Amino acid sequence: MGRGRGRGRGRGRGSSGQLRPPSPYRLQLSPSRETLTYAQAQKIVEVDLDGRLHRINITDPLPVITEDEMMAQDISECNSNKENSEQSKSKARSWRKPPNVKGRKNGKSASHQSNRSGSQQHTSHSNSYQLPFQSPLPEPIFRVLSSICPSDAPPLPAAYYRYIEKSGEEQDCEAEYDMDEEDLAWLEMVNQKRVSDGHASVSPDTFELLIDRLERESILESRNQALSQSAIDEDAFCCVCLDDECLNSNVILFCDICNLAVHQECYGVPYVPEGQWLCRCCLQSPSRPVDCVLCPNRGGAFKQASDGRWAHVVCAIWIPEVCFANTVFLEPVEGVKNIPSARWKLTCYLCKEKGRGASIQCHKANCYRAFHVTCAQKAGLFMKIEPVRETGVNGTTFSVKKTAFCEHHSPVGSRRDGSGDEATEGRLVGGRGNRGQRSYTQSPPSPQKKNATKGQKKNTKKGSGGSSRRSTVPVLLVPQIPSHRLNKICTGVAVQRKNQFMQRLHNYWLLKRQSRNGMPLIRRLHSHMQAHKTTEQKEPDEKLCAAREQLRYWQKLRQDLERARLLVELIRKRERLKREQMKIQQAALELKLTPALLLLRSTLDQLQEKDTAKIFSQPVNLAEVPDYLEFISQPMDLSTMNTKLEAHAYCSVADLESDFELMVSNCLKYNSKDSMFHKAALQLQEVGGAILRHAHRQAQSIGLDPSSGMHLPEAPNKHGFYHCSWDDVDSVLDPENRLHLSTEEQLKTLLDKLDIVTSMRSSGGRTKRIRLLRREINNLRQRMSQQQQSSQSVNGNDKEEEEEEEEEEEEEGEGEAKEEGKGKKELVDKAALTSASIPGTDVDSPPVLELTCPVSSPLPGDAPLEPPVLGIVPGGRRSPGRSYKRQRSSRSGSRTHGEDEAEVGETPCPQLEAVHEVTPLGTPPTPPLVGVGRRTSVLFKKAKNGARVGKSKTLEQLGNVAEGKTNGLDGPHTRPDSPRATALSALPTNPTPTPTPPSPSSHRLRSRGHSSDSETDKPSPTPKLEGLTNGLGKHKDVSSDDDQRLSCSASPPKRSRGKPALAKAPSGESEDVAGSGRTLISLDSVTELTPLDLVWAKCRGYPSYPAMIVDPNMPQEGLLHNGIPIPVPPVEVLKLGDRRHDEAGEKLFLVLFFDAKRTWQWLPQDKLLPLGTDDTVDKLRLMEGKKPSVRKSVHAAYDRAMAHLNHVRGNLNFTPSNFI
Amino acid sequence: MATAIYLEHYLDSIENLPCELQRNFTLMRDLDNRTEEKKGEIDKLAEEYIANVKNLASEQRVQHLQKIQNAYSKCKEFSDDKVQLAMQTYEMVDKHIRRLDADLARFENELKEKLEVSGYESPDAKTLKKGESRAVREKRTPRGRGRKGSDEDSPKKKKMKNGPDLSDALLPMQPSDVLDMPVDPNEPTYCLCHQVSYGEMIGCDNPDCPIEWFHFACVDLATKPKGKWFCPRCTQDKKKK
Repeated sequence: MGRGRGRGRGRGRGSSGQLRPPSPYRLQLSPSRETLTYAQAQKIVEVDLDGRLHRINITDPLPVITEDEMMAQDISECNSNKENSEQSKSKARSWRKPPNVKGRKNGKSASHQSNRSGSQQHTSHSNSYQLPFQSPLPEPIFRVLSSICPSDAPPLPAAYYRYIEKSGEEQDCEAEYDMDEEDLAWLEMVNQKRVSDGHASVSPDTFELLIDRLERESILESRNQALSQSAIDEDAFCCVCLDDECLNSNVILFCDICNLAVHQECYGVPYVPEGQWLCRCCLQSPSRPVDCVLCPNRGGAFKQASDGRWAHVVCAIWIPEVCFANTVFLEPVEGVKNIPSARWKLTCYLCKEKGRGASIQCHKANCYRAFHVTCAQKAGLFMKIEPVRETGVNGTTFSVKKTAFCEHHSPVGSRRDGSGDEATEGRLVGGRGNRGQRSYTQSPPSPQKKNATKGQKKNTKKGSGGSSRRSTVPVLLVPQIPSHRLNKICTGVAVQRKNQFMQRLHNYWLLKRQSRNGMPLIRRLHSHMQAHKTTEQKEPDEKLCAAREQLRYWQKLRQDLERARLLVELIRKRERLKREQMKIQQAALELKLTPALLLLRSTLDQLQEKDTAKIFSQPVNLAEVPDYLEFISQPMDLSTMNTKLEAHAYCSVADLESDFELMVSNCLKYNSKDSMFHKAALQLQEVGGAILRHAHRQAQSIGLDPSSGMHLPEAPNKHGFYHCSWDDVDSVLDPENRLHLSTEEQLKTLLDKLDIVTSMRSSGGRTKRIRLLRREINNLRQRMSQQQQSSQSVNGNDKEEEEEEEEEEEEEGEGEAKEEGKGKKELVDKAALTSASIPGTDVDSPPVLELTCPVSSPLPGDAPLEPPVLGIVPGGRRSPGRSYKRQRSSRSGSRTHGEDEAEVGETPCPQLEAVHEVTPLGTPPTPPLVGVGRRTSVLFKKAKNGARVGKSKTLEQLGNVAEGKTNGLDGPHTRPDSPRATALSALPTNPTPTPTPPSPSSHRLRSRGHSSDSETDKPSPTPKLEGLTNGLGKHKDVSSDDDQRLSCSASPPKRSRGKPALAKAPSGESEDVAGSGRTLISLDSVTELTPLDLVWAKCRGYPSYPAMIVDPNMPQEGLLHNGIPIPVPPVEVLKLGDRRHDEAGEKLFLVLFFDAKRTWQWLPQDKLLPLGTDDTVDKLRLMEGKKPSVRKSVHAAYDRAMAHLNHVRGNLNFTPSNFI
Repeated sequence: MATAIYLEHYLDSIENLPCELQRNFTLMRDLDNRTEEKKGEIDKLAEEYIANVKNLASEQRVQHLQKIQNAYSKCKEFSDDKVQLAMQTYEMVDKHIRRLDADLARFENELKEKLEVSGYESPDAKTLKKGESRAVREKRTPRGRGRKGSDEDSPKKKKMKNGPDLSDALLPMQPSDVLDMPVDPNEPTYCLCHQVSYGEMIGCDNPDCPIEWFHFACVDLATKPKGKWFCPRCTQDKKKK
């Protein structure tokens, strides 16, 4: 890191003069890496300056400064410093404030400044900031301050110091030699003599210098002679273990005289001595070669025995009786006397010399071959020393196991193959025959063999050296220095009587060298020269060296390139980020300038997305529909809107909305109701409305200025749109609370609330309220459309009609309600009825009231109950059915039936109304006040109506479905009949009410059905529902029902309640059933519920499930129904039923489910729905289950039920539906 | 030296590199200046717009905004050019580096051969060899990633960096100097870990990936995956879309 420092600082200093934009990364703010986000980190370059990390944003421009500029700046800085260092300091501090990258660096140097004296520092801020305004060549202004004394520089960290070795030339210039005491004494003597002779004494320095020169000369000389001692051998091996392994703790030492190589451990040299090291024999017997007492060989590592004789270390190691007295220093050798004479007598089979030394024997058990240790080494026999750990009684003892084999018994692979397997085992001494050969020479007694073993140059050298040493005692390794050279040496020295002195000095030096066995006096020089020599020795390597130099050069180049690459990589990254930044900037500016446009654009995009069919994406093609403009004055489409938007034609969401509305209404206007376009338009209106409302709210919360399309200067206080409690919603739900508003406003608030609620977290309350809100909204819409209609006219505007039908399809409840409304309007009292049809709205709309009145008047009994959704709906329904239905395309009656019934029977239909209807009898969960009473009443009414209708039907057209259908036209007439019919069956109370109310109800239920059988309307609707197939059974039920009523209940409303009383008459009924026979039953099963009927029973929490109504009073012994045994309800069930009855206060039916277990249940009538009468109903029920598993079980049960039905009917007039 | 004519050639080829680098950088700087100018222009326009927006007809507004838009697209063009230039420059440098690596490898081989031919088992050569093995062991990572950039910006190619590259083989020749290559504090960082590149790296196949390169270990990879690979971030972004 320190490397980057200098450069960075120089740059920082240089650039400090430039104008720099403030950087967000100040010194003190420099964020730590951990706190950086990834994106930030990407944009930051870390620089280590003065030991501190700086992070520089890559977007900060770093000015590049030339050296000249820098110099100029430095100069100016110096000036300023001299002027007033104190001031500059303080200034620097203040200047540091403007934070920027360089400022930081300068700040750094400024802090340095505080430590140093002003004159020393080279950076200052005071001036650097003026630089930009100065001319490129600043005028130096200075003043000499006398009073400043430089203070000590603070100690620099160790990193600042580096040891630089002096080059050879430098070293040549100075004397390296240090005098020792001997030299001092000599010099003193010489000087004394010289002084006595009247000459000036020679200074020690001169002496040292001269000696130094002599050394150098001698080295040069010896090199020239090429006779110097061999260099330190790179692959030297220890001559004890024959290993060349060299560890730090166990280095190979070389004797300075004989060049013997031994391991520290092998020779017992725990510490490597300073200076020269000599082996024992060179040290103690330098002039006389030593002989080993244990073997005939010479050379190698010797140690002295206690008696003064010598022995090889290896021999001492291997011969069992011999040991070292000191195991660390491995000396002296002891125990030579202990060697048994037998060992002395052994004859080495290698050297065959008798009576010389002691031998060891092959470890092979039966082999008696003997050999000298050194001979074995020489011969490369297998000799292995391995440490052994023995665990004995006295604990673990370490010993060494030595094994040596003769060449015949060497382990396979190690025989004579040199160093091949040295790695295999610990120390394989014998593995290196050649080494052994090199190490030893035989002692004189057999000199002829000596030369044979010397193959190598080195050995010859050594050998000859050794022998010369031995023979010519003073080894003249010191080269004689020729006199001319001596003269040259002393040229630089001024000494009197130079020649004489030099002669003496030379002699002294020679003696000194000799006394040191010719070792050079300056070791460094020696080794240096040696190294030098080796390189020179390798003349052919010169090329290689050059090549290496070259390679180095290339490597440097490579590094530079690498750096360049890094730089470019950084630049690339920076540019990418800059581009990114540019894009963001653009987006930001766009947001700033045209927020409204963006909002509108996104809104429009969303709208376009919703138009999946692309119906509205393009303008209407007038070529395709030439008459379009006849109907539509202002065509509009999404693409036009888009262009308008881009042209800034819209200022607010409202503008956009109006165009959107226009587009949708155009579509609605032009396309017939049943066309897909119409449908799509309605759909789009729905979803688009939500989107637009959202946009509205956004615009509000953002605070857009419509005139400029920009943000308002102040953000509007956010009135918590999303802070709204259930209470708010509930209060809005209550129509009373929005009486003061117009319908449109109401609708708006409701929609708003709906949005809010939808956006809330889902919860029970939420879904419920959403449902309620939707219902209210639908109601409101209906009302509005009705109002429109009523204002328009009743003349059967087809389009409108269709429209409404469309809506119906999409939102059944709504559609129906509307239609009812319409129907009613026309039939009874247009205006009044319409509004009345909507329970939620009736409060504020007068028509509602009117409606209720007229309706109620004819039927005193039912009137009060009439208003509820269902009740009214039917009423209205029927008439429209009549008047308009003609025009409608027919639909499958069955299906409508199904739907109707679904509604009636409180299926899980999502429609609000349906839900409402479901809840009626139970406690309605909904808060709306409106609902409760009415809804319940509706239900009852429906039942009642059904009954009535049934009655009427039965009377006139017993089981004649076709007739019922066909005579839709004379529905009104039939009506009158029905009352009569009821009368017949004895209903004093109902006669009057029946005519009108019942039919409406039936109508209502069948709204769809009407469409299918356009004619039937009035009379048929009901019939169809229950009686399509069977007038008779119904009739029966009804009659009984009515009977019941008669007998039981007095007041109409109550009666309605009591109506389920059906069940109460079961006994009679059953008889009837029995009497009427199968037809009866089969027919019966439809509407009115009698025992043994099959029904869809709805328990709370379960989908409708096929079940059979069972008469609780049936004989205990059981009962055969058409040959099919009917299970008998257990006593407990019956008991439970009694209790339930008491609790519920109404008639409950005992049903037997068609599940596998055949469970029982008591259910009120409104939970039961005839099964097997209408495919559609059944289908709906079958699909009711939400989970596939549930649906499956319902299917299974349905199959069972159908099977039962078939059995009972004997398959006569019923074929099981095939849709399962 | 006669030993490496191709190296001489290389020297010739690289002679122009500094100039080209400089030219490219100047170009980029130029573009930068122009971008800045444009930005200033945009700022002015925006202020103008804000000041006058209320009095402007919608067409005028459109016009005005269009102006800003145009300025921005110009800016974007410049930025694109700059990025392009940077990438080109990078590739140029990278190309040179690759060539040098190859040449050096060749050179080194020749050197070795020559040594063997000469059969001179000098201790020096030996130390050299020893040093080599040592260097290989000691080799620090920073060099190991040398290769990584080579196929950068060619995302179409399989992106795999072979960690140890040719240059590594060369290093041992002079372990001491080469290993001394200073650690550049500015060295770009990559990967989720914000570390410099080392070892095997994998490139995200999303051309707009902000990180681009990842260490195998950091993305839980042991081997090069088949087909396209996207980094965790890009995968997430993709999912969102």
